[in-house]
Amino acid sequence: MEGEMLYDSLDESVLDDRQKARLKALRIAMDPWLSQVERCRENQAKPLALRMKEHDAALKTLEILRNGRTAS
Amino acid sequence: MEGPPPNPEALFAALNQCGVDAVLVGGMAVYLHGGNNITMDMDIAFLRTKENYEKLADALELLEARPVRWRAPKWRLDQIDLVSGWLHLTSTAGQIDLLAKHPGIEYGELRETALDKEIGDTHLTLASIDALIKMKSAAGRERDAAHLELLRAAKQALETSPDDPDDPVNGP
Repeated sequence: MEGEMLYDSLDESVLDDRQKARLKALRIAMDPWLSQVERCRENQAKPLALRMKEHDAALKTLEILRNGRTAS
Repeated sequence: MEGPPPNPEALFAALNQCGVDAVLVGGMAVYLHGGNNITMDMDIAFLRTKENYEKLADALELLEARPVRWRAPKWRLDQIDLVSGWLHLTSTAGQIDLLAKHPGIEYGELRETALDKEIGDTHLTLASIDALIKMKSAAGRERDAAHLELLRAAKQALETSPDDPDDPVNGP
């Protein structure tokens, strides 16, 4: 309860740059929407051929999970 | 899974060899833009002229493409096959959906805004994120909602530079 009150009353203008950056990183880590942005950014940095290898591997895993056998 | 896994490299190798004017759209395009969605097929939009239909038919023959339950020994695309606006095919490059109709965007804009990408040694024409958002929004299907979310995240990832000094995760 005390922590919630502290967070609610937090005045970001009193934070130094390091604290602001840490707080922002924490929000990114905790927000599923922003985490998805991070995943997209990581994927965009990979060559498409590598992405396709990953896609094939994911399809095979999915097939095994669904049918208990390897995809043809 | 019916047939081989989707192989956009093999698909576009054949399309390019035959000079087909076509753009990769749909779930595979979402994936190649950075999405984590898994898709079983490749959606293709194409210029609907008689000449391009013939080139597309040639490319599909190279890929031994045919409708899933086609019984005759040979199949070649005919314009009448796409009267419903959509045709699902199996091929040596995986499953292909041909889209003759794509709500939300005209082919001209789709082609003009498409991105040129390389996959292996093959040149691939990939619909832009904005074009895909238009198409997915217009389709309005339940499954498109997840793709829309991925596309918006992919767009935001591109707009937020990893070198952004205000970005504590990727910034310097």
